[in-house]
Amino acid sequence: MPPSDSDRLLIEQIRAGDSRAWETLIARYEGRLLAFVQRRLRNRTIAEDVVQDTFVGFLNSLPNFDERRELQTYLFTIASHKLTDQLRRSGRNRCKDLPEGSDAILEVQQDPAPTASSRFRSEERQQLERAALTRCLGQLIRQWQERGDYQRLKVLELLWVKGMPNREVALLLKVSEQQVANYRFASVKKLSELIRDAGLSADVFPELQETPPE
Amino acid sequence: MNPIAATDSNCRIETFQASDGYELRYRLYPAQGPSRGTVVYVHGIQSHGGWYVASCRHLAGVGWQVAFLDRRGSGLNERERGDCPSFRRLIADLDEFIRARCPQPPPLIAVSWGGKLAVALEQMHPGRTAGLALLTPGLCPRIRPPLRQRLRIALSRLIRPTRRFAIPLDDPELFTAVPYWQQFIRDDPLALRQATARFLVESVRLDWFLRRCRAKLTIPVLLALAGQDRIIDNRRTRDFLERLAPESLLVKEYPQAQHTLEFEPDTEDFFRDLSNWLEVSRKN
Repeated sequence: MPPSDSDRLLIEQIRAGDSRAWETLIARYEGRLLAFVQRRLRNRTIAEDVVQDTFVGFLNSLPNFDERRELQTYLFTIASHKLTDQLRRSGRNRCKDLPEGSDAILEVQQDPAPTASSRFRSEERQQLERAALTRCLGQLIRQWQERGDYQRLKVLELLWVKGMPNREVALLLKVSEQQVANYRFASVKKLSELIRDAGLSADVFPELQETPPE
Repeated sequence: MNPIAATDSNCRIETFQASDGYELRYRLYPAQGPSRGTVVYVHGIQSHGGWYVASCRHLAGVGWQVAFLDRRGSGLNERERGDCPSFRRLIADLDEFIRARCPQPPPLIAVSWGGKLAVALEQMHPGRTAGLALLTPGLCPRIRPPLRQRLRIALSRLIRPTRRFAIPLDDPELFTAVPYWQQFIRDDPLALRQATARFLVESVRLDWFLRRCRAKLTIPVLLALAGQDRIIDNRRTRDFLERLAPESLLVKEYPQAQHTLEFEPDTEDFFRDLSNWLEVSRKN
């Protein structure tokens, strides 16, 4: 569905730095996004973080936003991805579902035993990720083989299969740490392209750029 | 005694120039008696070195040289008040300062928001410090601007990054229950009350960075928690650090204390625990 004239105008105004338009957009979508996220998370504080990251991701991607996309669908698609990421992370150390109320939220407890549904969501997500990674890596490996770029293959195998840090890989293969870092960076960039293949700009995931070095 | 440091005769104010030319001021407390080494100390989002005179004096008294670095744009550093180019720049400041001023990796004491920088520093440069003492660290805060305000800040970061917003810690009772110290905070001309949109968004980006940290900390880590803390979520903070430093974390909780341990009526246990932990980290 194409975007409404109202949404198109709003996006133009936000791009021009109109803070009132931004307030309007927030007022229009904040409640629905919060309700959507909170239904899954049942934790107001974390839900607000997800909605915050959704709007920040939207702002970040605004320069490259395709105006033929419907705004509501776009925002909810971003929110779904942020939510999945949150569930995946909390799946490792799930927060107990608590009733609404600020005191309850402040007393949120960590539950080391995930529920079946959380585990299922986590596994479902992992399967999707595994399939995407397999596809991407297969494509990359074929390209490197065709080019005879076996050094890069060795580097990434040691990094990702053996889990070695950059420094050790560099020492073992007698290449510079910078070279190892370059190979890693180029490959991670390829993963960002996968996100684009899914119909979203990598700009909506600025947090992925904040991954600490290993 | 005037705890706002420039008048504190126990320390001298020195300057360190970061690699981008910014001049950072810090308080240096020379060790009294035989020196045990240097300890670096950093403050929270609103405070500065002048709040921590008592613990610095105590540590200097038991033989530590204490270098208390005020963050760029905070405390004694007037230039670009409440602003920073990026959280990575703040980590670089700390990293460059340690490399320039400490012959050996020092223990690093970090209060509240400064705890985020300390953990991020060790993730970016493992082994830069001999240990982290995190005093009521702001890794999982309870208090944040409302969502609407955060979204306003996000837009402002794009269109007017130097626009200032209030730091949502304007009530001194959040820090301490002691009236004298509450008044001290109210009257403190060096406290940071506002920060730029750029700084506040960088703080969120620092949270993202920390959320994605996986490398385990193997250096000694002291986590000091205040039982009555209204700023920090103690349980989540503890869980976070238990995951990050499962082998080397020591937790000390002061059940009756408020957020700023320094401002408690009785700091004897806290100071003793800090000194003891520093000694252990030195031996390690």
